[in-house]
Amino acid sequence: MKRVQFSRPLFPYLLLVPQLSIILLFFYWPAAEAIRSSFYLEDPFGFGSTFVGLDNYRDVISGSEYGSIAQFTLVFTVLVAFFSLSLALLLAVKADTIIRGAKSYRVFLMWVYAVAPPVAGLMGILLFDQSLGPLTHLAEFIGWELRIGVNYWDTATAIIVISVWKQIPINFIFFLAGLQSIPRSVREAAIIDDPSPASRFFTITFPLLAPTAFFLLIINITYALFDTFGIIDIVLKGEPGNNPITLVYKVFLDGFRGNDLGGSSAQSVILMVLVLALTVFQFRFMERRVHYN
Amino acid sequence: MANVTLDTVRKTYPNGYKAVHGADFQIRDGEFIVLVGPSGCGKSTLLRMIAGLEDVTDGEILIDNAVVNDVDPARRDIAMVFQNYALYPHMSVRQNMAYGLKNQRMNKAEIASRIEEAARTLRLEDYLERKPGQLSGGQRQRVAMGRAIVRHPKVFLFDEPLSNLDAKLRTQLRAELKALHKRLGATFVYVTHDQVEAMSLADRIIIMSAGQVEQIGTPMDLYLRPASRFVADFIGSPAMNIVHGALGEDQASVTLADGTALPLPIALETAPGTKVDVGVRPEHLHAADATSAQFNLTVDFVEQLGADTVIHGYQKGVENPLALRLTGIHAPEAGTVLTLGSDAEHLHIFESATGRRLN
Repeated sequence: MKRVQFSRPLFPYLLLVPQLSIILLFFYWPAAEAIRSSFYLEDPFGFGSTFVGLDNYRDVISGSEYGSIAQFTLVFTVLVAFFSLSLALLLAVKADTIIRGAKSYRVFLMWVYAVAPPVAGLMGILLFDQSLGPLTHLAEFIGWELRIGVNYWDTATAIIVISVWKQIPINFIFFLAGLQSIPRSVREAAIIDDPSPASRFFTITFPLLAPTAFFLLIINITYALFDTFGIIDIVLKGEPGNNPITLVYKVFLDGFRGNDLGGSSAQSVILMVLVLALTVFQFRFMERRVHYN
Repeated sequence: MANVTLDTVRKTYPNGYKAVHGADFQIRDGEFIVLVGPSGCGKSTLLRMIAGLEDVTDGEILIDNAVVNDVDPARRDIAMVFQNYALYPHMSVRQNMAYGLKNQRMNKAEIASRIEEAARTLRLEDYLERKPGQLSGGQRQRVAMGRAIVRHPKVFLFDEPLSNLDAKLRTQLRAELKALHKRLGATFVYVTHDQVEAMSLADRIIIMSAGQVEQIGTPMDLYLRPASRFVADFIGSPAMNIVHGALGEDQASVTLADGTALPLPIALETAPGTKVDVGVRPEHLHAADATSAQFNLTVDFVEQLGADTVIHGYQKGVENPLALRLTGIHAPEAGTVLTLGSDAEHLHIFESATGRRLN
């Protein structure tokens, strides 16, 4: 890192002000506000608030729903991260080896990335439409009557499929870039050392992709936990009923539909702690096992 | 240990580019063959076809008298050393060497003993547990050689293995390679663009240009009797002097552009008036008296290399560049005219149009 000495010592801080003010305004202030209000019982009409200590947290954790929603969120996150990473890796490996039409093939795989989550949700709904959706027809073909918004598991399937579909392109781009950064001669040396392409993939290619995969794992867990909000909202049409929702969606429901600002704040504080723990865990324990060139 | 035969091997890439136009030669068992030529001449493509990393468009490649065109690279019993080492960065030196053997399902004791032997030969014993990232360029290239040696292959293939190293290390590793070849007695096929490397390592050199084999022969064959102007120019440093002219009426002299006649010590059978290039190496020119002089060199500048002195100048009258190499230290003034001659056996005469040798 290059050290630059400024003649006026306050000047560098001045340069940091725009960035810091954005972080303060959009991250630290709301976070602090969430922590504060998680200890209060807010009047729904904004006429006042009462300090209740840890009552909100107690209510959240003892609530019958919370455990099952947390469980679904965990399963949802694991499935979305697993499928979007593995399918993207498979597509990237295939895209890397094709010779003719490689560019158009890649563009077709990448364009979904440009679709906003709510739009992806809308397209997903069309695909899963009760009477017109091709995916519904496909499911019918194998004897599975899909009833999105009515059956808990069918809705969960739709949310997972749409979320995975939306996330594959970004994973694909990163995996493809990672594959192409492996020197050609290293792959060729492996071709001479090992006749089996499958075993070459697991012993040479995948370990060299590990830094990319590690980075994408963090991105995908964050995506599944938080960014799938739009997709879930569209699929449920804002009416959760007894359909599956994730923890982030529950924060929104309790705060803005249920007007329980205190309880909603307590939930978001729990999520904040979860993300913090996750980040520390990933960087402390996993980075060590990953080979960086 | 095996011979390698190429039977009219051609390579055309999918985009229509013809990289190799019919290579036809045999590499003998235990021979050190160097494929040399400028970049893009097809030498690497040829090596990669022997390795199986490129498909053969036409013709046949035989290793140990068996056609290997459709044999998987891992089953050709070859080993390859790459220019940029191509070590597996996530594996230790030991794992790098063991990888190919494990895939052959060799037993652990045998793998360990082979690695130990290779490490001893290449002085890598202290580095076996290190990752390639912790090694210097020379050490990495030794590991790459070790990875080849442990396989006990029929044929070793080298693709410009020393090009990424600095000059001193290159000279050192060149000597080690030569010694290794002697010790193993295996067939080596070595690609380089460096003619000094080719001359110092090869039993026989295959010199290529634009996808064609120009000449095959021992280093001294190529040096003493280059088959074409291309070979004459490529082999030797500083490069051979070439003077352009036309063959005289007597077929034993060359008329230069300014009308002066350059006497040839031999008569040719080519038609008078044919445009020819006369070549003579800088080290084969020597001082001559006025009557036997063939060249008149006007000194331009002098390179003093210690053991040798290279005098650069031009042929008087036609401004054709000429160089003269003398042993020892000399310092002629710029502008001095030196009268020089050469022995008949050291004059190379090529037809200008084709580059073909005439004498």
